[in-house]
Amino acid sequence: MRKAFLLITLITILLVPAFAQDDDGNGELFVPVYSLGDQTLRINLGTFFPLFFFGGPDGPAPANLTLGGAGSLVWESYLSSTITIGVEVGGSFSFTPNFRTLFMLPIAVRGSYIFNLYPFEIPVTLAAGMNFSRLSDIQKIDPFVKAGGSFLWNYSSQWAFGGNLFYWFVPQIYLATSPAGADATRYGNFLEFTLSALYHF
Amino acid sequence: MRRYISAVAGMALVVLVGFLASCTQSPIGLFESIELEQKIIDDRDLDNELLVGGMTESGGYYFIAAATLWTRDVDEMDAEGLLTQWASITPPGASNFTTSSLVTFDGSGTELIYAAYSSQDGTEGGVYTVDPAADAVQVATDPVFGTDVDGVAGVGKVFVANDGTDTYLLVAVKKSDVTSRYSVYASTTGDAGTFAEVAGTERNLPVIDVAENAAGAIGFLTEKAVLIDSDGLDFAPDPTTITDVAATLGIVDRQPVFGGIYLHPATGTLWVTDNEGYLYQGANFGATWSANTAAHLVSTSDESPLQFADLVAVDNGGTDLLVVGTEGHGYRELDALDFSPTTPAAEVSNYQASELAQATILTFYVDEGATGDFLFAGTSNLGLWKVLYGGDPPQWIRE
Repeated sequence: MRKAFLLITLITILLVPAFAQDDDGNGELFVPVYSLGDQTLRINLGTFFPLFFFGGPDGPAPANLTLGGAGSLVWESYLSSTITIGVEVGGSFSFTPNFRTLFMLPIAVRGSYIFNLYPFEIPVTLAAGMNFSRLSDIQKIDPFVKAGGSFLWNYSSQWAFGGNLFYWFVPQIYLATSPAGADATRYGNFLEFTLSALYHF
Repeated sequence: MRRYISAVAGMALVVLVGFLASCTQSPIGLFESIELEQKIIDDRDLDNELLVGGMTESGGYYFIAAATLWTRDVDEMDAEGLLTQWASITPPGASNFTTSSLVTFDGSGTELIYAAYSSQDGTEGGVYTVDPAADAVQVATDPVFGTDVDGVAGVGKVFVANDGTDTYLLVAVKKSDVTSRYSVYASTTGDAGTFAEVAGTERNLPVIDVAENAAGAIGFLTEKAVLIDSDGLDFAPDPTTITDVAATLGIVDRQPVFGGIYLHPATGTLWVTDNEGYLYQGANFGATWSANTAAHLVSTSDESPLQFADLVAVDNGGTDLLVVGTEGHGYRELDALDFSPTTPAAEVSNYQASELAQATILTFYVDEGATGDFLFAGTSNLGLWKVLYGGDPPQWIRE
């Protein structure tokens, strides 16, 4: 109970400066209202959590990868004050038990619905595209789906900062006619936690 | 709004094309390979960046030529149950001699290690002995053969071969009396002053590999020639006793560089490799040849020709496999009776996950053990690796 109280107090203290940004210092409030044609550019950097693979003969199996890093560049445009569509180019790396590096570079289109809790925004996002994977001399292009959300604090009418939590799903499908055979098919599951800096223009 | 819908539709089209183009020639799935990966055991203290050019065994010790000579007990564990470790052997002289070739040879009733050392600039060198039975293993102070001999400008690799009459210690040399010419010297004892030039071996390139058969025929391989001597080594100037059979290999409109020569003892088949992904199979010790032009096609993800190098046979639980090293792509296994090289089984081996799969193999060494053949692979800059072939999936260990 005491811990919960301390936690709530801490969060409240941390949020006070955020609400203080309602006022830009000149006594003028800004209320972010976006419309068709408004755009944002966002950079995300953070940690990559390999979760598990499934689809193998022994069922779900640990991903057998270390924690890694992830990052992305996102361009979005507003269709309305609460809906955006855009494109993202990302990347991640993580290591196998023998320190081989798995690189994954997804390119995806994305759409978001934004819950406005001024001065915060909570975009809920679904992205789909393709993922370029490379491990040693093995390369593969796979479908890619990413879903999750962000928690952004509007620092000003142009800048916002926050964090993202996204789930990556990468179905890596091999045909029976491929050298690896259909048995090589695996469905990769990963988690991305990144910090964001977002610019409105 | 229409503009954005068009943009999204365009992206979707790109994605679709990407999926359709998504294909790979890898013999193992990418995520599958990660799921199956096992940590490579690397519990010995040998430097993992060593260039290992040769390996042999004598007196219960392994020896490797890796710039410096290194040795360790053949037994995996010492009397106290600790892992036996490698120790370096101080090179001869004070001129920073390095070695990448060595053999075991018994010419005078005592089995010794013969290692070819050269100075950094290649202008000095010699074959030095190491007595593995000595209390303090060290390289002899003076060479038994080298650039102090008239007509010899440098020493290359060392080999041992029997010509049906005698067993010889062979030394590939660069000649000093003729510019840019190479030859082979031989001795039956390995003692200083007993080496003589083998007639007919003088060529524009040095001998890089040697094979022999039970009948006493010897094959010398340079990068451009396959020299066969079927009637015993001669030391008088009689080059007709050695024949270059490279022209009979069926090579058309190509200029390959040969990488290795090996006689498979069980079948008597002579194998030669080249740097364009070709394997040549010779019957009657090179009298007739057949070549596999598609040997490389199943071997690499990008289908570029493999540069084949050294090769050797191992007993894999009753089945002989030829193990063929490559430049930069590890090794391939080849049924000793046909031309069907395959990448070592991915699903059950840690090979694919090891750096060995991208290594340049310089040398193989087989130690026949009670439970199967231990195969050692010396690489150009990734150290020494070991695996036990005994019918089970081979699991590589790094020395």
